[in-house]
Amino acid sequence: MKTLNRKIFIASFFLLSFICSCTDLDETPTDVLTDKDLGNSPEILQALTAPVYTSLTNVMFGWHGFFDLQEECSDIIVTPARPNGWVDGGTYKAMHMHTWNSFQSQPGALWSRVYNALNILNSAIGTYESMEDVGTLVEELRALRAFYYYLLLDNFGNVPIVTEDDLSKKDFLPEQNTRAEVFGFIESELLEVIPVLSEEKVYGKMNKWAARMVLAKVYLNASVYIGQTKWDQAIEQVDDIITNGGFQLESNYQSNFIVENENSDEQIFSIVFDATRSGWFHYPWKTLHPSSAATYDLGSQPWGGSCAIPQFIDTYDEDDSRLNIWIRGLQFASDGSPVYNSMDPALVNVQLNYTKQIGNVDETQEYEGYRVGKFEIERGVTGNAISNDVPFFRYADALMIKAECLLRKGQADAAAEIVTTVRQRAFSTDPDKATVTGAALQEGSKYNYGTYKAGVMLTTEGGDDIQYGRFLDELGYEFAAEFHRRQDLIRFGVFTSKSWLTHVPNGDHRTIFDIPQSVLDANPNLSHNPGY
Amino acid sequence: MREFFTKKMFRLAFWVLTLIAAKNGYAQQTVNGSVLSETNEGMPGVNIVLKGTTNGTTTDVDGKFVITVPGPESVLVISFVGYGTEEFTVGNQSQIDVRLTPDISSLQEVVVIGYGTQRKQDVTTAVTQVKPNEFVPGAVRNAGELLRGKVAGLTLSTSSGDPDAGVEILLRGITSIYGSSAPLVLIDGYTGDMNSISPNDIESIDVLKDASASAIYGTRGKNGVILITTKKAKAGLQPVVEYSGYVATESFNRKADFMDAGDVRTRIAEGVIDPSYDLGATTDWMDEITRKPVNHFHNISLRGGTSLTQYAANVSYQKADGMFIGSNNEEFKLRMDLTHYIIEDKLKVNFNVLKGLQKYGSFNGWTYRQALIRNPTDAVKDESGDWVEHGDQFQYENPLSLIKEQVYDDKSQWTWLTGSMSYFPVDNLELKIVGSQHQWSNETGTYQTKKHISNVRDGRNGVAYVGNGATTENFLDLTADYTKSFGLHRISGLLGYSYIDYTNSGSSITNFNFPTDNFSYHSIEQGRALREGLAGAGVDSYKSDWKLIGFFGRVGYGFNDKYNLLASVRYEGSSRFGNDNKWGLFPSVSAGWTISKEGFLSDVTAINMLKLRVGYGRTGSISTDPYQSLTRYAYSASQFYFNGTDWVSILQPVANTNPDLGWETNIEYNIGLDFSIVDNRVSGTIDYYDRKLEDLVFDYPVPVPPNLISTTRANAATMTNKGVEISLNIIAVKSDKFEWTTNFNYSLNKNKLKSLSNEKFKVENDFFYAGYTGDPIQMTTHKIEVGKAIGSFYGYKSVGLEEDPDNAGEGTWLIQGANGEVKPIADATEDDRQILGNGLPQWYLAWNNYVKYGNFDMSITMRGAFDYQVLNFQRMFYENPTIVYNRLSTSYDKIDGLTLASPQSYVSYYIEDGDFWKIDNVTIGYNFNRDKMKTFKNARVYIAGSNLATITGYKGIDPEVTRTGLAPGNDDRDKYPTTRTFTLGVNLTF
Repeated sequence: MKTLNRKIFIASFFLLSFICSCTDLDETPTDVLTDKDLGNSPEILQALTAPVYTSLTNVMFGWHGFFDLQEECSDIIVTPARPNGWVDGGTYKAMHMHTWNSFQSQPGALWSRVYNALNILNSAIGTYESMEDVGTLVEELRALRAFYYYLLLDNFGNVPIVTEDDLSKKDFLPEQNTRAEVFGFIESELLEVIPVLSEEKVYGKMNKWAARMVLAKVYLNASVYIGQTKWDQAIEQVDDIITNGGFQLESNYQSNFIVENENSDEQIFSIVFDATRSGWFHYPWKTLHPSSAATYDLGSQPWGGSCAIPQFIDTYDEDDSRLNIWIRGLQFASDGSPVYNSMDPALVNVQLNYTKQIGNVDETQEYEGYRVGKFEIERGVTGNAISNDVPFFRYADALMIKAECLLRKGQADAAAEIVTTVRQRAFSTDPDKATVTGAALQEGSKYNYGTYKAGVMLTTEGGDDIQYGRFLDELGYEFAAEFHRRQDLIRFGVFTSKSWLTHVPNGDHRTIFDIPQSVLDANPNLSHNPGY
Repeated sequence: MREFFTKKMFRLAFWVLTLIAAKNGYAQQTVNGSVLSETNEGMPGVNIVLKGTTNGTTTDVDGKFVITVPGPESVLVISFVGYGTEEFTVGNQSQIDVRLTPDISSLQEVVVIGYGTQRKQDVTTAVTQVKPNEFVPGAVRNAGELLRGKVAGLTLSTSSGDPDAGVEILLRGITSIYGSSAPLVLIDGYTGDMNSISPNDIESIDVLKDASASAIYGTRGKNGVILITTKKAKAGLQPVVEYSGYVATESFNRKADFMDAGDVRTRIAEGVIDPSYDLGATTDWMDEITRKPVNHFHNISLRGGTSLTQYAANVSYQKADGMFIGSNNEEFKLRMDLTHYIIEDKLKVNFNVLKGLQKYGSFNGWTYRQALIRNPTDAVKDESGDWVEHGDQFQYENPLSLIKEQVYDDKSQWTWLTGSMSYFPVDNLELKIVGSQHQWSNETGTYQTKKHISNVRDGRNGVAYVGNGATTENFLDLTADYTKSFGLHRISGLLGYSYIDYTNSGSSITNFNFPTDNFSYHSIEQGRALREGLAGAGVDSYKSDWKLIGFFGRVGYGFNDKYNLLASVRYEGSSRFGNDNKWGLFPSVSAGWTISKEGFLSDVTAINMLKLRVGYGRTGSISTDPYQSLTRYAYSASQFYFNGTDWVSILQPVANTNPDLGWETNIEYNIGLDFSIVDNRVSGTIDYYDRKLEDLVFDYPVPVPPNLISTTRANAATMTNKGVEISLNIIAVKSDKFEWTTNFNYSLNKNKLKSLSNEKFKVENDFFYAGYTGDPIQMTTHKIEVGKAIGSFYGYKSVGLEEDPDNAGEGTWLIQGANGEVKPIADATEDDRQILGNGLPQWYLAWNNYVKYGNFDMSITMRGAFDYQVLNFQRMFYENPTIVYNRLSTSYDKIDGLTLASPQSYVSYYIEDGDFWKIDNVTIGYNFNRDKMKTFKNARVYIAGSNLATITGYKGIDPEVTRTGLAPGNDDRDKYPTTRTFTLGVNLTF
């Protein structure tokens, strides 16, 4: 028995000593970093802060991004059901018909992308505030934060204002603010930082001019946001840009949208895209017919969906060269040979011809509808993204803000002068057509509102009754497919009062989107927007 | 050969014995003997040991032995597994004939219960053992298929006909939302999968069904455990060589009925299809991409041993062509096992090596889809010999060019090295240390030539891919095992420690634009795309690791073979758990009462055995990848920041921290009844279980800020599975010539999602969507909702067609709206969706038969799944005359007297009942008479047919579709169709 005990004792000792050395369960990842690995080097800080800018690419052209959110609920662009799909559970139809709810994907995408960026912004602002010799970096980031809040103000209104930079405070839950509070926050932040901000134009970065554009936009839409007009304040902001910014209109409108558009003198604030280094800009694939791959030598077939609403196209002057932002008519391969339809068996031997006429949101043929070609499509792209930068604010926008404010203040002729300036490059063949008068700007819109199906107006509402409708038309020509339209339609009172294509008005509360459901689920402090 | 072998062994044994005897230096006496069985047949391989020494021999093939003993006082101990041990004093006899009688108690079966075995009569948990003679015979792709229909509550389905397809395993229902529901598969105690070893190398498969059985495996036990025990040598076994082999061929048991060229021309003549659709040729695209496969399998094993050294080796080779050209599978596996007693009864060592090689085929669902939808009047090649392509048509590619213009090499290998040492310091106590390393690696290389669509249409000019992945898993187990019987008491105890670490790493390169096709993927640096930084070219590498450490113990107590008690506990921690929740405790307790041993039943002769079992256990599962509990940042591989002059890397948060992240828990109660009646002719098992699955992992929406990311992975959801399993074995006929055994397995499972929230993590809406139709329909297919079972189809309920006012005879879908009203599908909103069925079978039944008549034997396996629905993707996508591509012949069948004019839609019309009854396997074998053969101890030939017939109302190819994950019942349109297999095989024992 004694031997047994000793043997067991020795064995147990052996076992225990072995085991105790093997109970360490800490993790040390090798292909990702944890918060402990980050440190505080300038390189790491720059890399950590960089998403505040790079997020803009995703915000704009990530799937169901900002572009879609602003355009697909408008009277310019629609994504109708086609033979190759695009029903997608009704998400595009809901955008067109204004029947979205808190589950709608596009507003949800904007919310999450913006708040992710805000999170990083707040943290970066906190970090840089505690450091010395960072120049105007803190102000730059605060202005950028105000820009993001402007997107939220415009699309959701009642959002939580969060400036908390300590992300370790897990118990903290944001409270919902009113639209007026968000307005006030953006205004006070920008007024505070603008005097300090750099005037230097570093491509793609926030500076004094970009910050003034944000503030001008906020004032321009103040009547919508807070029920007060702020025309003079808006003019004050753009006047500084016009006088001191050193910007000018490109002589060629198209120069703003070419692949190498970073040298444009018209760009005030641009989102920097690159086919391989940023990705996301796959709008050409979303709009073009698959056969158009041969036209642009694309390395992957387009998916063929979004197109122009015919009623908008009808408002153009036929000599307006800005009509060329729409890809239309018979289509040819890069070698000049025709390209064909491919979805309808009866049409496969018929050359692809993008027609103005479309069916309706529920049924549109593969060839129907003008396609969005505002941004030049680079030949021979191998992936499915293009490298054109996206001017979020350009000089023409500053001019048109001034013109609109003047018009609304009763200075129609002064406004007309500016509008004429902006129009001139679009009518190089017939300069007389560029001139508009103050009286004309006070007319209604040429847009023939009403429901439409396959070339036939089912109901007619017209646009004559829209105050300054002609100015709205001008905004359309200049900024079509530049994610302007939703905001402009709301400001001109059209968004929830007129019909176009299959769309009919569906409630005044549609001027803001509902708070996304996943956000409501996660934060009990938030509630639905009014009317939802 | 055999004679030579035996003689040689005999001579060797003689010399060994002579040497031993010489060393001992005793006076010698030679004894000749023979050992006979109860039926007076010579017994080979019987151990003969000189008592008190390690000297001994074994009987030859005729049961004869020769041994030299010191003198007449010598005692011989004669023993054989399953027989009583006999002792003989030699005396003056020179010829000893011994008759061994079967030992009833030692013959009793033993089941494997994890870190040990248990006498079947002592079992208190829900364990089912399947032995090789019960396995599904014929051509099986992996060990999992051996069990099909054999274990109540264990469903195994291979919904694909791909020769390298794995098997989907579910035990007692879906057990997780985010994670896997698949049971743990252990091979001789170590993590493996159904494909790790040869199906012919298996001694037994034991399925630990309830948590009281699997709790000893802690955080790996939640979904049940399947223990595979390989064939081992036994002490005193004459060398046995076995060969098994077969050749087999396959065919699709059903094909999707797409229009052929004739159908197209008929429709053109009818004016239904535009004449331009006829391109002049006649091509059967499915015929073009498929073939008549020949599959074969060979397995050779060798086992043998003395009382001190035992060895076993198994080598297998299998090759299957697969129905689709290119979908090959080739496997080679070698396992060797060697056990040696350094000091008999004191110190034992074991060495085990497993090597596996596998070459996979290149079946691609996309290629199959292209063959289905391609115009049957189109030619394969044009006059100049180039593949016919139509680059302008969306997602439309010549399937033959996809196969022929692609090089595809994909191979894996695995090596398992295991060594163990057991020390027996006193009787009945075993101290054991086992170390094992499992390495797995994969190499893939592909190349698409300049004639591939990737160049013809997309201008890639040759695309190459090279990828490598490797895993290493290290194991260390220390156990102390004690068993003792005294009087009517039996006790057993186990203490152990287990350590596992796991590393996963790999890399890949994609490049294109090559100067020539000659290099294939073997000179990947020659592609220009990577140099030029073009989209679509890239490199990546990764690495992750985890650790799992457990302490465990088990005690068993039995009294008078009547009352049995078993309790176990495991305390286990994983690196994958959050810092505040690293360790968990997993206890279990179970008890058995053999009622038939009670006095009040002793007079009831009809009842041979009756036992009641109850068990409770708590098990866990790790459903998260490494590092999930940490706040993580990653440098983006696709996004860079333009800082005004340069593009620089960006760091993005990818996960919120969750220090509470832990295991998913199963709390399970099991009550079971085992019985055997009417002279043991009828026996069976009934089990009822109640599983409460808690702490299930889900991605919870959390506010941003303060969080970095809008979801946090956390343990908060709860689900239940309740069910009944009945297994019944009947020896219907048993006579000398004729024998018929039949077996039924029935299982029923009720699943319910109880909650998605706990106090900390909540979802306002108690549902979410899962499953996806894919484009162009782009809708979710399933709704996972609290209070309902997982697997509910959710979409529009179609009620018929509405005639199009513009096109008489054509109609679009009418659906039932949220308030019961009927409306056109164009007006449908998300709120009109409703529950349309459930994709998980409610109950399963299997019926196995085994018939023996003279030298013939026959087995018939049948099984079915009932009360569930299948979403027929092929009909949803292709039974529609509006699509441009080829379509099912049934597309023009009238619905409500109208031709469908709606675009492809997800509506209830395509959801069908999936109930089926399959004649899964029929095997007929012939056993040659043993006494008439010289070379073989055993010889059997058989023919087998698998997947012979399916009785079902389902219109698709096979209603047995995927049952795992959150979208069960989706019959994917690109799924490799299942096949019917015919096999001719032999089993030979030398």
